[in-house]
Amino acid sequence: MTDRLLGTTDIARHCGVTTETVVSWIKSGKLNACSTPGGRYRIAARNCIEFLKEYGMPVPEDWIGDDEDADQQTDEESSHMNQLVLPKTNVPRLVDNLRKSYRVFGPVPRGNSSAFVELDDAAELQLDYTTTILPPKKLVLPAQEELLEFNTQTWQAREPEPDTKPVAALGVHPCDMQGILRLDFVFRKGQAESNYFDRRDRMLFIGTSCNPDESCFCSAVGTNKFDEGFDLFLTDIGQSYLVSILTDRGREVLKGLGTKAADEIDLNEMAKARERCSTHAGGQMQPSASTLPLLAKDGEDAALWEDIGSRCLACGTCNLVCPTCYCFDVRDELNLDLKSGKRSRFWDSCQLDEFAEVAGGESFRKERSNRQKHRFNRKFRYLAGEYGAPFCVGCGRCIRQCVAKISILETANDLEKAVANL
Amino acid sequence: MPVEKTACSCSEKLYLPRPATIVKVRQVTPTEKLFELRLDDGSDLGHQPGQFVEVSLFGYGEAPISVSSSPTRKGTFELCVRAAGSLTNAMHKLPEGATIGIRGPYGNGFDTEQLKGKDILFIGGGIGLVPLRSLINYVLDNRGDYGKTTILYGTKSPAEILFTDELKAWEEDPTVDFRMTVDRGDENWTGHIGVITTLLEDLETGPATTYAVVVGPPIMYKFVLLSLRSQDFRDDHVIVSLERRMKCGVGKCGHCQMNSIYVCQDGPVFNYARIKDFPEAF
Repeated sequence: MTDRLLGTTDIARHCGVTTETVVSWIKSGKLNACSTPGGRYRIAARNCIEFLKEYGMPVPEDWIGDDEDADQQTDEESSHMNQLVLPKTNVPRLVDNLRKSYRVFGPVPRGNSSAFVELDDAAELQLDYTTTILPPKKLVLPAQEELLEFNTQTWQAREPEPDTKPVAALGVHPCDMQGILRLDFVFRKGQAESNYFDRRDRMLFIGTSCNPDESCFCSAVGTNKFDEGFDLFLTDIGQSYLVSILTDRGREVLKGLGTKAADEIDLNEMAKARERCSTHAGGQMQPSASTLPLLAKDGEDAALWEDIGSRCLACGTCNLVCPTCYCFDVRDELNLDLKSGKRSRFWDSCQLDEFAEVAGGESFRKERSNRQKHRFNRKFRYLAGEYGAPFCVGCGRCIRQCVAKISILETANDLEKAVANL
Repeated sequence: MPVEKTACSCSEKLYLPRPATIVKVRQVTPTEKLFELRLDDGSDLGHQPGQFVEVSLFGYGEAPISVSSSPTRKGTFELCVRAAGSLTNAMHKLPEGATIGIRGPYGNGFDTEQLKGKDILFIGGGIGLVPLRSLINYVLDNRGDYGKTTILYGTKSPAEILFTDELKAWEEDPTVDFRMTVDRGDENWTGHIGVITTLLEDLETGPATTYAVVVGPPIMYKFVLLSLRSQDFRDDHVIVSLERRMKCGVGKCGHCQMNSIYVCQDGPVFNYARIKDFPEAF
């Protein structure tokens, strides 16, 4: 029941073209392909069939045969099975499955924390973790991203080719997934941005239940959602994961993994484990999320901003580690030939001195207190109003990593008191 | 395992500039040059007065620059650029015939429909005349559609006066009341001396039928807005255009945010009544 993979020569021969032509179809995005570890293109038969039909070319019968069988069996097998049990010992096989079509990223231990890195070896993966230093935001919106390649002499400019192999993120916590859904909103709003969606739309997300600490506060901001944005969600139920299948793309990667249907006991365990995720998040926010926009507005002149501003070092860490911060700077770099070069965007921070400066040197957010207030308003008021939920996902990273010990939770709690006393 | 590609149907290439050729360059002050540009694909820029473009110089980056010409003058468009940073200094070194990149036009521009039939009081301070000029010339080119036109223009010193030829034409135009001032004169200056609000004090305005269109540095807004209020101008009869660091122009990068709004999307032109309570506006 495997999908047959075709090489570029199979397709070239069938279509009566050179393999270079087939490669150009792949590069231009007309024909979807994955690549082997050795860098050779492989095309799933069903993708090739779709392509041939789209361009009105005949489809070889043996390609169809393979594929339809596979489809039927999958459908029969899984139509009534959206909750499966996967033994933890089989997780490495899941990683191997994923690696056939995706670059696979997952949490691995790093110092006192964890980090999302590309998995060369499934043994590095540690799905039972509290948080990562940077959120998986970096996979949808890289810290540095090339926007253009240019030549200053010929005045030629073009956008770089998207990676042929999409990314699968394994072990994403609900708060971080909610962060990515908020980024989707921002990059779709107004004019949707192809740089973001060309990468994002091909990604696969596999969530895991979490292991919260005292800085986490997902339930206070309503981001403890296990079924939004994910293709699969793995809930830790002891010796196994309960795998919830949320998309067809997710179902695909489970083939041949030795899963079994979940029974009543497994489902009960899942519910309990998910409940623990939310209740063990230790951060206490007094004001309810729905009151925060008004609180942020009414608290604009509160004295606490001066205090926070006086402690803030304007280092920008809170922005860099935030799953919903997306502001960027754009810079050009010339190559050594001084003719060709590239234009890239970089994560930026509204806490830095020059962020809101204009050419004449005027700055519209000179005081650190105003920049801290701006960040708070961005999380709970400005965009939150448009999106209908806070732009803070309660991951706690800015609290854990602030060297000045500024806590967005404390700020929210203090602001409520300050506004009550105004 | 097939990899689906479900590209967002509305997705757009936002950051690719269009090449444009510098048709003409004129040094207009010691620090400002006026560039006349034509898009290489032959199309008109298609802008509204008050909109801006992102100018691209490969190797230097991009900068938001107001379009200074009126869309009524077809074929080419003009950008008046002060040599302030690395990109604008590099641009000043470019000869006629050189290529630069253009994205846009971006922003909302002035609402030329709303102003129809109204008297207009233009108040420009320093380099603020650059975006204002696109609307002034638009109004003068559609003279019949607009009422009484008054232009007040102030600079710090006579050396910074922009568009001297045009100022002369406005001065001689019987349908325009043009007045200007400098903060500090020099030995050759015989005109009015004083900040721009001193021109406003001498003026007989009809606040009920007049819209004031104000563009200048932040400090100028503070005093001009006070002065207009003392002359009984309603807040919603005051239009301003704000400068911000509009890095991307398409509402993504976050640099131009002013409280809840992105100046590159909702501005740079605002009705004062809408933004007067924004702490970050001026």
